[in-house]
Amino acid sequence: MKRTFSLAVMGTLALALAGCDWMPGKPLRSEEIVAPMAVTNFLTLYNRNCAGCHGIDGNIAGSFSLNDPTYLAFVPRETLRKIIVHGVPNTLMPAFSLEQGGPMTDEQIKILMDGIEGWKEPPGLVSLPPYSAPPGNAAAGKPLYETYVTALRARNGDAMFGDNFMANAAFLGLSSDQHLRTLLTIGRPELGIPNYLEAIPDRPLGDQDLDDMVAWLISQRKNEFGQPLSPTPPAPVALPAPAASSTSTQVTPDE
Amino acid sequence: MSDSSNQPEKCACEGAPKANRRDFLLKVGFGLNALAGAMIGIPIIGYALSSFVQKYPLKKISLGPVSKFPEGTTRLASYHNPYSRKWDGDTAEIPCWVRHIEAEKFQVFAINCTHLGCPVRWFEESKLFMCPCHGGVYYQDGAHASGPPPRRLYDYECWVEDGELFLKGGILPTLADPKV
Amino acid sequence: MTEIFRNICLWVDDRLHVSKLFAATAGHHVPKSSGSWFYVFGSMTLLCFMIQVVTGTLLAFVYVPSGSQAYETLMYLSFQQPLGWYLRGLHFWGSNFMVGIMCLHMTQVFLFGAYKYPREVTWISGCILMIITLGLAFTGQVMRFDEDAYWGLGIGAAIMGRVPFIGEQLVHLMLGGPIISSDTLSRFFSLHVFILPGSLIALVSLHLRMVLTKGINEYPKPGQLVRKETYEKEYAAIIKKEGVPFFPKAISKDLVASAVLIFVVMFCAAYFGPKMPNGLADPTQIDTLPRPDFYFLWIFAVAALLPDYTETFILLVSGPVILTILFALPFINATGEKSWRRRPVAVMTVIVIYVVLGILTYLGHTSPWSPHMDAWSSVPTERSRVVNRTPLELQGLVLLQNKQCRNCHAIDGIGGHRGPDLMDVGARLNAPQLTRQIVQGGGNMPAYGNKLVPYEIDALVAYMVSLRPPGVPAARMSTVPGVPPKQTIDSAVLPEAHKGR
Repeated sequence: MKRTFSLAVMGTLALALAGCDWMPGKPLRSEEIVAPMAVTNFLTLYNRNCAGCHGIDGNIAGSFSLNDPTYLAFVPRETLRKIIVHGVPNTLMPAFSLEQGGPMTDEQIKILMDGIEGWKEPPGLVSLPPYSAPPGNAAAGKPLYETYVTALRARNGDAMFGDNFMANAAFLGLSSDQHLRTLLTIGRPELGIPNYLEAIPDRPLGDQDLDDMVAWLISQRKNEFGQPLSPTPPAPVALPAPAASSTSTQVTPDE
Repeated sequence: MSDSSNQPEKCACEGAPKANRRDFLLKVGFGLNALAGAMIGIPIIGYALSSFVQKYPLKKISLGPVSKFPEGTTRLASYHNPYSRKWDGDTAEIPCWVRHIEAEKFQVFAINCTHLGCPVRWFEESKLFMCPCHGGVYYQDGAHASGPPPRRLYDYECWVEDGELFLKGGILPTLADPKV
Repeated sequence: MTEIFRNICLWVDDRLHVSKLFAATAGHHVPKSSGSWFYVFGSMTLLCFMIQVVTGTLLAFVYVPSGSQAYETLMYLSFQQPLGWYLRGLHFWGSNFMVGIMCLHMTQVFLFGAYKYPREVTWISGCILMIITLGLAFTGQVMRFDEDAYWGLGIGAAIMGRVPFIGEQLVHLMLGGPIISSDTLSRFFSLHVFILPGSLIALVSLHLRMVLTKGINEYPKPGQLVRKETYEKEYAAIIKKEGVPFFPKAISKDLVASAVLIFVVMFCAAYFGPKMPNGLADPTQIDTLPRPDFYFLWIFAVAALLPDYTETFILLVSGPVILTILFALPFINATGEKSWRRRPVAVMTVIVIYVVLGILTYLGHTSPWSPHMDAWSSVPTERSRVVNRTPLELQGLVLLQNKQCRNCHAIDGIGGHRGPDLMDVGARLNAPQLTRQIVQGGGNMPAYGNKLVPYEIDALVAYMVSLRPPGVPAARMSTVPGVPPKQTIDSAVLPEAHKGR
């Protein structure tokens, strides 16, 4: 009895002294708390800063999914970077770089960019329309848009058409021209809004069609409340104001 | 040593006058110790309470050129605490929120929530300061919006001099002393 | 050989009076009934303190209480110093157990009426020991000079700053200067390693001295009342009749409990490890969620839940009031029934205190009143809350994220919990009500009127109206008479933007 006890004591001591390298309580360097601006893990950065509006993995969100390969193929890398750094004035996309009052350092934005690029897939056979283009002919866009909506309705039922779909004053007032163009071009496949090739059965939309539809939607904008048609830019000095009202909200380079 | 140890016996047989002297000596002993105690104690208490008594006047501190703070924005800035020591490390840098309203109009807010001093964070999109501790919320001009804070954010006195933003600061603002 | 050894022992005993001291202390007679499992908590608390003294002294070999180096030396202790992490673990868990077992000890003493005549001084010294122990716990968490420690000091200073007349001076006294700095850490270090442990040792001496002079409480029997006139005689009779020397007759359960305690502390230290510092105490790093250690979470919760007009009063007055009650207890309630079986009020008090502290600690842990600071940019939305939405409603969802609504409002439980969950808001509020709430705020919500343009409000409201459990219609307009119930009300009276759903 005595011997068993002393053995147990010795054993415990030996464990306590020698075994510490594998003790579960031993803190690991990898568990050290990293200051938010020193985080270098892509997914941590993405989940903290982007996932709320752009979704991740199975989660879809209010704005475009950044893990949609079509979207990534559509947006030029440099444009995407500038959007992240400066945000898009007059829209809901905030600036994320430190100089613009955001939470991320330049290195972190680079890590984020590289990670998002990693979601890219080799482009399919189809070459996408250019990311931005001036609006086309509104009159030609009207019937096209109506066909587009009819096709979508036939496809998805009525659920998403309550507010006149895209031809809704508030929606148009809040959406930049680029947003309309992007939505028409790549759609939101995860929500059942197909891209420009599949939107209207047997009639893939061409570059000109897209320009015309955007033009028609722009012509439907109203200014019911006399306010600027989209919110005031969050950081007016950070960036020259986007070119005269309604051409494109592609970000102007400033560096 | 041997003298004093012999004394009691002597005293005992020689009677009252000696006893009086001993009482007197005891009183002197007490008195001297009280005096010595006070003399050694007062400076010790003075040392321990020095920060209780001392006044800490606000100091003029630069936050750097105005161009660091674009008009219409609210940005985090920090200054070196004028009362800091060499060994303060990171705690010597004190953060504050700078709101550039227009031209030379600025507001500088202390980082500390007026409820219990936690660091408030600015949210550009909703134009609110939020506190992570007990949910105090303030509007962009520092006014109390919701939650437990008893008053608006603490304001620094600030002004622009030759294109440089200055403030008066250096102490932790609390409800007892809200002028930062 | 044995003769020489014996002689040495006798010589030592003759010069140092060891055996007399032993007989008068460890050998003192206690009622046999006190050798109970309920009586082990006091010695366990003391043992915790001894663990703390040893491990703390050793940690001070490495730790540097300086604003610029404390964090670095903690990292060195945790990662490089051989067994540094284990010592830190022992010290951390030792402190947790010390606070916890101290509470058990106090509860037992209260329920067994041990504070009653003639053990008032034992109780009062115990109460001061409790304050010192909590003081050690608070100053100890400052030693882990991290974000929580820094902002914890800020919270302490903010409470001090509410003291009338001398608030400012008290803040400066506490901080050792005008602002939280290395001087603050140094004085908390001094408190933690010299002043408080020194006072604790002195008071433990008094506490134990009282156990010797007035005796340990006999195991109370229901119906056996304490009377000042007769108690001491009765106690002497008990000791005479069934008294046993504490050592070796009554100590066995204490010994077992102590060993178990050491094993448990060792296990926790080895298995769960120390609490790691939560990021460098860099005040400019404001992306932080300051939280106190476990045992102060209830105070954190109280600070959040008090109505603002009572807050200063309660924060400042409750401490002295509670202490006065504790100190006065043995005088107010000096005699009478000791057994908890006949003291329902005492039992209820204990239950209420534990339930309240438990709930407050849980609330402090979950802190539903705190905004979820990253929610707006990080929390996902459940798939069914996104699909089948119009483009306007999708813009509303993006706005809901962008304007930081999610920091305070969860959807399906994901997000902040300061405000109501929005998962069924469309069934509770109709569009004008939602608009009014957003624009004017109220009910602890900031007003968003001047932060949103009308179209943004339209989009937000459109999305929120769509947030309903499946099959539940949108909240109806209460002020529009004569609209047939079958028709969806909002499409009848709302502007174009809201029609349809």
